[in-house]
Amino acid sequence: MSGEAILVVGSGPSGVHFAATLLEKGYRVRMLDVGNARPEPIEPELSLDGLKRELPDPRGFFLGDDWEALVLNDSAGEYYGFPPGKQYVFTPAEPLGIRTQGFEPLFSHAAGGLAEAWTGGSYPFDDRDLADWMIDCDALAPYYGRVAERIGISGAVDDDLAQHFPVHAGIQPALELDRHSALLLERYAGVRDRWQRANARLGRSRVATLSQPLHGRQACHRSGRCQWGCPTDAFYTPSVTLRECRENERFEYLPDHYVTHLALTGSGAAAAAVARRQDGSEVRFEANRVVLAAGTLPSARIVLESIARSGDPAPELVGLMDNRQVLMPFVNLRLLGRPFDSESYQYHQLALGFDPGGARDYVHGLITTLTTALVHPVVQALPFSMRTSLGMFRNIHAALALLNLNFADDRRPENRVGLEPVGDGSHRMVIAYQPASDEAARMKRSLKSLRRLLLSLGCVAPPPMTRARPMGASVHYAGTFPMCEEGGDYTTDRDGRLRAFGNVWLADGSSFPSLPAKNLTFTLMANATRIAEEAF
Amino acid sequence: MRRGEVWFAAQGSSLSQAGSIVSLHAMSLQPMGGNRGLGGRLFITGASGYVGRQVVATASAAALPMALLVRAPASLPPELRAAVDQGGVEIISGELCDAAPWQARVQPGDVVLHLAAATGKATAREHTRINVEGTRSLAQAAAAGGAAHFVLVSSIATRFPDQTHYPYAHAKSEAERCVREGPLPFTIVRPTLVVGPNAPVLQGFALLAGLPITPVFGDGQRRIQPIDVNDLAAALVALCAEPPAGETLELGGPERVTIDAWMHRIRGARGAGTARLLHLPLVPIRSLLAFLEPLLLPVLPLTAGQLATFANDGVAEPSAFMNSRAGTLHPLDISLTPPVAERLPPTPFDAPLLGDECRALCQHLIGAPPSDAMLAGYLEHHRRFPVGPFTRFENELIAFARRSAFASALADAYSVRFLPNGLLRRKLVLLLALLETDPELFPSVDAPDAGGGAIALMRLMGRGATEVGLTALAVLWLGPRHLLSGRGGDE
Ligand SMILES: Cc1cc2nc3c(=O)[nH]c(=O)nc-3n(C[C@H](O)[C@H](O)[C@H](O)COP(=O)(O)OP(=O)(O)OC[C@H]3O[C@@H](n4cnc5c(N)ncnc54)[C@H](O)[C@@H]3O)c2cc1C
Ligand code: SF4
Repeated sequence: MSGEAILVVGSGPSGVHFAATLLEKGYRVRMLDVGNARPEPIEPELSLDGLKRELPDPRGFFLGDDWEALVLNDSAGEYYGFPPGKQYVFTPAEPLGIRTQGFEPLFSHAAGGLAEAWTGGSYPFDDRDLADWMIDCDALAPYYGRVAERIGISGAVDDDLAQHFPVHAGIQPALELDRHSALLLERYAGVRDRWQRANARLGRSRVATLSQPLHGRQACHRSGRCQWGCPTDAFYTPSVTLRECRENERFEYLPDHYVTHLALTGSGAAAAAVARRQDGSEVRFEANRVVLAAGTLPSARIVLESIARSGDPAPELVGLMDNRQVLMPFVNLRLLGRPFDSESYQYHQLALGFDPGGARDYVHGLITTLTTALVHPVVQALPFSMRTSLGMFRNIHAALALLNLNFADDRRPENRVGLEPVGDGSHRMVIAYQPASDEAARMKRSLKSLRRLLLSLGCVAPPPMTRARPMGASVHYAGTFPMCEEGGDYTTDRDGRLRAFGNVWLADGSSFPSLPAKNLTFTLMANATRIAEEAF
Repeated sequence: MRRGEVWFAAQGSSLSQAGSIVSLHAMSLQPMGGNRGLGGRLFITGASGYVGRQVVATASAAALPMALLVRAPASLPPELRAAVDQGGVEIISGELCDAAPWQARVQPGDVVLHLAAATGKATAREHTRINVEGTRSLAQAAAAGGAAHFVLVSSIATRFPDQTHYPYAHAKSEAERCVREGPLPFTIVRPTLVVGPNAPVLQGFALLAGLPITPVFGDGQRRIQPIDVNDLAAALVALCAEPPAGETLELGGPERVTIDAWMHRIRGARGAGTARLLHLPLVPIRSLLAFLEPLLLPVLPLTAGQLATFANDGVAEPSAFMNSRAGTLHPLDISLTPPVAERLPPTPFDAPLLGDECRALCQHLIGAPPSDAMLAGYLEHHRRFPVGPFTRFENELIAFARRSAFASALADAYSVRFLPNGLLRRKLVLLLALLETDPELFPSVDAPDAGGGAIALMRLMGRGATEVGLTALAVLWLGPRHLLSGRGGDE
């Protein structure tokens, strides 16, 4: 089914799975991307401690040649803990300018998108999660399976938590547990009833990490380097799929093409994508069908800019969503004074579901047993002198863990994305966000229960250390062009087709009509696969 | 709050902020006749002192010719050096009590402004020698040289009813007598407590007020009437330009406050809450100090005599002269506000000093010296990212920390509470980052203490207790210095 190439913008999880599916179906695909490339991994066989010992300049590797990963006491802004090797993933902001209110977004121009720096949590949505959607769990399950078989997802299918995750194909056995996570699960077995009475469940995480070899990729060998970039691709990032696509002769990958807008025909359909290159030149790509997968916010920008350039006033898009995240560090008393194990998988191995009942109340938690992240940002956050903090840290390091809680979000009119003129005829993107009025109360209730549940595992979560991250920090953006049966120009049909243009599809989070608490990227990939399969 | 700005606001002045307090006062001299009445120069003693420096600045701004009698011309304070550089100022080198070498330098028509005095911890003999003999010899020299007017700056303490153990007050009374009985037309001036930026007396009180519990000797109900150094200097220069009064004028500020209220006001002006006062019996403490003084004078924190402030009302007798100046006086709270903590520029890169610093901090942090790689990294970061501007106190804190691992421990404990975003903590964070990426030392940021389990818990509690102790010590030792330096500007 060659013929005319389908134009896809963006190589993030949404874009590459859309493209991979079209290629599987025999289409030709042309992908426009900014596409900053990841540096080659160094010394893949060395463990994390090995790198510290053997590298000629470990400081340069861990803190950066320009000390960019050094977190000083007066560093401002949200701390993400990105190592120097991953800085290339993030662009400082939208290159054409942005103004935000109540929202701190991250953008990526990397080949592979934001998920080049993700932590791999891959959780399918269940029917309750999909209540507002035009598709149900059964309709999505085959696509979850297809994506899982492509990328490799490991986890348990038979523990307490698994009941929150609909069954799909392609799940590998769970990774070998680190000692702390194993201890937590062991403790949980003893207090399971209590957790269930509180409608909470603990279990193995689902992560895009191989416990078994897959498509030429090795299984995780517990090097402890996840945070610094898995050197063997045992940990999945979209650049793996991008690489596979590029092996296909029907795939044309065009990095260094920043799409500014779509040129519209008189009837308001897209005629071409217009891209800017680094040398300042502008290139036009004619296309009959355009698929936007540049990420929810950049895709919104492209659509708005297209309308503004066609002479009409750009609308204000309402209903932007993001998961509120709350970080709850805790200490496992049984591990005080114990040595820690640096050679283990670094991202979350356990997850929890807490379901106090209400429609939007399901809380999804990821438990990371902190091991090899940089120490200095953690030590300086302790409320003691540096020496005391270090002394404490040495003895609680093995006992420290972080519960990262995600709260659901829904579309509300006050959360908007728009454009505003900046004088010279160009525009900047404006993003405004306000949390729901009942958010604080909902969070407070959950946090109290969860703190008690942690205590039942022998863990203490000091309340002053618990902290809500600013909106935008979870990087789960969605909801700007929601899918619905019938709707205005700035909604999509079941297949993500934008009603305003007719020949433009949104294959990223833009068309999500609601945002459950579970991390969305696995669903982004499955949904992009579904659209490619069903609408093309 | 900046002194200058508030002052302008208080005066409703139309002057732009570019003007300074000094120039404002210089202007306020003009209606009083410029140097009318000042036939010759201002012959000033004690110009290097706190009030003297301000007098010279004020007179210099009004372009009055001056001669300054100084002991060590080579080490003039920078303010005086600046005035000298402007011209119109003669520097005369000499000792007050040995007039022969410089006597001839007094010129006919000079107005002698005698500020030099022994204060504070001088012995009774010194007080007599400098304050009495010095005044007498100056008065004789002035008369011999044909000076027109002798202005003696005395002290409000001369009329304290209770001058127990207070040789300074005795000596100043005697000096007043010399001047009154001397050959020259005179004016005697008795300032009250002098306040203003970095005023020595104020610093002493601020040290007390900065303590978690402020000791007040006596009942705290004696009243004082502090005068701003700028107002005092302006008044003195104005008096020198007037014909000799032949009388004694007492110069006080715009407000009279009790000692208790004074302590609260000092804290308030530094952004701290009200003081927690502890009244101590005055008489026994004064007797104890007096008993110890013959032996321990150099190391005592204060003298029995200095406690007279707590025992007497130190307010000024109203006068027509001061009434005429009432509108120009600095409000007390302004005088008490420390100057906005001055931000110093980044320190020049100084490898040996930074090396010492790195070693002291590392020794404190892990009980071992830094590796060569860490030292190199520490220097590299400082070279590439010069820090600053930062406040004088932060600078002092780092110099203090550099002294030893224990000093570092105090500075560290202090920083986390009171300067969490400050320079010292920044350096400690940097060191930690270097430590955790050091090929040899990195395990030291992770290795737990031997024992584990219950022992670990006890160790953690021990660490907590040590932290509490160190913090208390640090607050006592460094807190007052910090408060003194104007905390408001640090953050
Ligand atoms: C630290 C971190 C941890 C995370 N952990 C998880 C997790 O555990 N689980 C989870 O589900 N999610 C996680 N996420 C979120 C996840 O990364 C995002 O949801 C996901 O990457 C979004 O995919 P996307 O394809 O829609 O957009 P993006 O990843 O943003 O990709 C956008 C792509 O479009 C390209 N592009 C953008 N603008 C233009 C333009 N104008 N012209 C041309 N190309 C353009 C970019 O180069 C990029 O290739 C995490 C994110 C971060 C940052
Ligand atoms: S997933 Fe993490 S632990 Fe496993 S091989 Fe990759 S970097 Fe090492």
